[in-house]
Amino acid sequence: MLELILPPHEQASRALGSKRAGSCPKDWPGQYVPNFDDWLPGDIVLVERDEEGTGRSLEIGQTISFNRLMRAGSRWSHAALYLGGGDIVEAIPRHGVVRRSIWNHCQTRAIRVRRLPSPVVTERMAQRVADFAETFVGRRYSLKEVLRSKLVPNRRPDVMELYCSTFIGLAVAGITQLMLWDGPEQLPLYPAILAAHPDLADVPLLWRHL
Amino acid sequence: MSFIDQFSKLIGGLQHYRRPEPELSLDTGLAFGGGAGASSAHADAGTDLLEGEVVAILKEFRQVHVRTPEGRVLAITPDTPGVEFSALHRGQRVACTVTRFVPRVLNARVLA
Repeated sequence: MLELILPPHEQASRALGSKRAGSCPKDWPGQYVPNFDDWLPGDIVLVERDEEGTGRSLEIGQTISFNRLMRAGSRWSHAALYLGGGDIVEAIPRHGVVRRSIWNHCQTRAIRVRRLPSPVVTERMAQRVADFAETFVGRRYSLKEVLRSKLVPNRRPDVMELYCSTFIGLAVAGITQLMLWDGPEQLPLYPAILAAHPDLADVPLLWRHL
Repeated sequence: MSFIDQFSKLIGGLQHYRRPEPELSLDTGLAFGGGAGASSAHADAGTDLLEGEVVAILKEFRQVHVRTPEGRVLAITPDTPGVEFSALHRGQRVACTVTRFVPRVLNARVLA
């Protein structure tokens, strides 16, 4: 299963070549395309840490955490919501909440797709989560809140100061009433928590060469 | 032999099936009666009745956070049956029927 989530440049030599042709979004910039047909709007896309300092420091912080869930998902340092057509909505440093192609991440970094629990969250509700999240495009990203949540254990997020995973948590709760951080074990709501969250299900990922 | 038994024999792959128990929803496995207007005097099968205090009002994000004495945080939205979302305020005490498996508020009511 781990091989299936490697980014295309790493798995090119052992290309998995999905048997199903699947569709490719218009203007898709890459040579490889994941199985978007199996993704649904509202799915959570996790991104492996980058090679920059912030990604590495977040991974180290998550790895040495006392929190079991945090350690279990420590390799994942970013989270976004899938909107459809190869696009995601995400809160990122310097840009705030933006809509853009998932290719910006998956061309160099491994990704993983997780789904909100079905049938508690129906496909229609998940679509509403995606639509709702998109209405926050333009909102500021708060690096300060990331640091504060790290320095003060079990701190509840200041929701007026968003970062990638709290943004997702709020969008999900606002539509579905489902709290992804309902207990102390899920705090702070970092990408690692979403990666190891017991209520979310993995969507198998396959790449195909165009 | 029931129709489903015959069907499972025919396809060969179905090892086991479970009939829905009376009064259980096929979709969620939760008991009926947890929705709007239900008596919250007790928790139904698969749900807990939790009481807590409103600690945050996030109208922009369509949610109010309720903290229970055990430290859990629940979300009430304008879609939550049983409460008037716009009338909720900080410090108010509410009772919520919450699913056990995936913690989600099915309904809520304001406590006097």
